[in-house]
Amino acid sequence: MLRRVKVVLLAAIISLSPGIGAKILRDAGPPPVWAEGVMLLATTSGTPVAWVNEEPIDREIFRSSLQTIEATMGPLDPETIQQVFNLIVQQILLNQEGQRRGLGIPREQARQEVQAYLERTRRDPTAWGALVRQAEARGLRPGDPDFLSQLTAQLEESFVRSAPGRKLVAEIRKEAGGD
Amino acid sequence: MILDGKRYEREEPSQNRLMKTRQVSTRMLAFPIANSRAVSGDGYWPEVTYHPLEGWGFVPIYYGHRANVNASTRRISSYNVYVSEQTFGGWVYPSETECGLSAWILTQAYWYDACGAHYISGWYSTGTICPPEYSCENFRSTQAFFLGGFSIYGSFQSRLWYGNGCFPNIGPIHEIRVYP
Repeated sequence: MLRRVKVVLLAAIISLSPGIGAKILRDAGPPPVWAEGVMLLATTSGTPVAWVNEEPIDREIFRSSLQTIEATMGPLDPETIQQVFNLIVQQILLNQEGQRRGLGIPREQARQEVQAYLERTRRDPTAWGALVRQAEARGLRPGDPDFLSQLTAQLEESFVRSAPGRKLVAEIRKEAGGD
Repeated sequence: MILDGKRYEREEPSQNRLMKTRQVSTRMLAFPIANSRAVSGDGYWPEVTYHPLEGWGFVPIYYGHRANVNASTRRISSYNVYVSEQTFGGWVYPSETECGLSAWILTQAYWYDACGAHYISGWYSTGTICPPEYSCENFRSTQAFFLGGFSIYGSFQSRLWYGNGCFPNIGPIHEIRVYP
């Protein structure tokens, strides 16, 4: 699968600024300076951060992911940002392969999964706070009376969209004996 | 009996054994058997990791796990303490989520004594998949340690493995200290 992968990184990762771009792969010095640079890059334009087999990684999603992690885990360092980016790419690749195999779930199942997810997440203030921050980055307002229903609707959509990849992982795990 | 100008008296073997036993018993009385129990770090830990979700970037995933530790110590002389029956167990909840299977990873048991001597010993199991809300048998260690010194501290460490679908995929180190 990897051979078929064409990951095209935009300027934000490789060459928008030689100084900042190089810092992703090399020692970046003090993390806050680098993180600030990434945030700057993330907001410079509406273009995608990268493409994975012609599928874009939304700049705003990448930016809000980093912000959420920074808010809960502390200042970002180059390794962290690289790992976050790698996981997003990995997720898209798995999803593409899952789609190719025709995997997916009905919307009703996605609804149940979202309910279970929200139940677990609300148990912990840190997790719930991080989710609310993600929601805010996507234009939802926690103060609104219908915040929860809007959040649920958006997550349902995402659960449906990411289902092929998650199902593919589950199938692979089952084939490997559950490990 | 006189040999080389010195007088030797034959001792009954049984008497000699009795005398030695008495000596040991006296010392044992001075350092009675004591059971240890974890007094810090024992309990429930909530943790948060992040799962990539298409259309959202990353969403937080909440995990909780509980750990309990026990150990018994027995001072067998003024300089040696026998540590046995160590157990380290608990549960990880949930065991399977968007992040993949969760599991505990035990790091090496690390011991040091009052004299500054350090002892490191591995566990029988370095990690296992833990079913939700079950104590994990594989976390048990029955290894025994002989420690020098007059007081001991035991330190158990573990991490939570989230699988490879989340960030970070390994949780922070949890340490449980055992006091004699």
